[in-house]
Amino acid sequence: MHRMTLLLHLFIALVIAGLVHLGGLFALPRTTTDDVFSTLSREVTGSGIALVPEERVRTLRFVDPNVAIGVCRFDLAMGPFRVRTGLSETFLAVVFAREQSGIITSVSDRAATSGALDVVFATPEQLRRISELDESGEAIEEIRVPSPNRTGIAIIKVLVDRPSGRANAETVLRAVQCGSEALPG
Amino acid sequence: MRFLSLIAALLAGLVAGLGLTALVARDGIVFDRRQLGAWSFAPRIGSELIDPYARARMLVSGELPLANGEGFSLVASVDENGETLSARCTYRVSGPLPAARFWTLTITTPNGQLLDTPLRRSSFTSAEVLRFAGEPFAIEIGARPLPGNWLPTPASGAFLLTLRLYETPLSATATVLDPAMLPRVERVGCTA
Repeated sequence: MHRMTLLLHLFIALVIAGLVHLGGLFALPRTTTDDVFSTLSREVTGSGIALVPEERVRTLRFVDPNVAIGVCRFDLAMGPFRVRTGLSETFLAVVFAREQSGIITSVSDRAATSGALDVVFATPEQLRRISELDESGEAIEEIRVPSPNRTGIAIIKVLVDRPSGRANAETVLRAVQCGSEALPG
Repeated sequence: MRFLSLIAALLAGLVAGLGLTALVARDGIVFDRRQLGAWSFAPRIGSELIDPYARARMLVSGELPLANGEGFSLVASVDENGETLSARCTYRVSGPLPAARFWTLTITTPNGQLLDTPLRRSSFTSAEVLRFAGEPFAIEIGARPLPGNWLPTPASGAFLLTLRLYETPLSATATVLDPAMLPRVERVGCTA
């Protein structure tokens, strides 16, 4: 075969390999269902928080066994999503994530006021509407976080600094309130 | 002939592209992974700024990373001399720790699974670890019981250590992290 033809076909093979590789890389998140965020999302069977049992947490890969985990699912089409939790004696964080994608953002208990962490996760349009409804001069104690995604999960983690602390951590998680809130007209 | 050669080139490109994707998703190419002594870390894995290669690897591996707002994690698969951590050897993790509200040190298999040891001891937290007056903390790692803070290894094979720092200024200043600020992973001895 002519050398130029061979080089041309080699070039075509390289271009196809590059395109397929990049296409596969960006399509991969849409095809996986074993990622930890999809696994945690499946733990939620109803509304409100689902406590992930300790034995289940221990089966997750690259997870800290010293955390108690609760999960809520959100759909911002139903309105802004609120997570309200009391505090733990150790460390508590709310992590917003999306199945087949990854972490969106997180809020730790450092942002808590008056002994509670109150986070509102909403689309930028919903946040604008909430701001319009604010009473002027009134202090806002909730943390408002804009969401780039309509659906996803909130992972609430409480650090268990010693084995005897797990019951307390799970009590904090069971009391977490999470759900959608309709915005008034 | 020319047509067949073109088809072969297209097929070769397809197979190479898919193979490369499968390879990087399994073994990972993390562009912003940094090595500090025995420890390595990927500063953006816990944020929206994660690169597509690190995202593919995270999703395929099933990893639950620490979000940037929670803290930071460092992983050691090798000791201070760059030798792979092996269950045939004993190690000591000791030295300074960056400022953090809590820390945990966990031992896992290379694919991130917790070890199923009889004591269910697969980690230490900053609240649990025994400290001796005037000395930095030390965790002894090996297959047989060791005095002090003993973390059992698997019966055989390689393993990973993950140091998680909760609520630390480290994530914001990760790029200037100095290995001298981190605990050392030193090999104490090995069996034949």
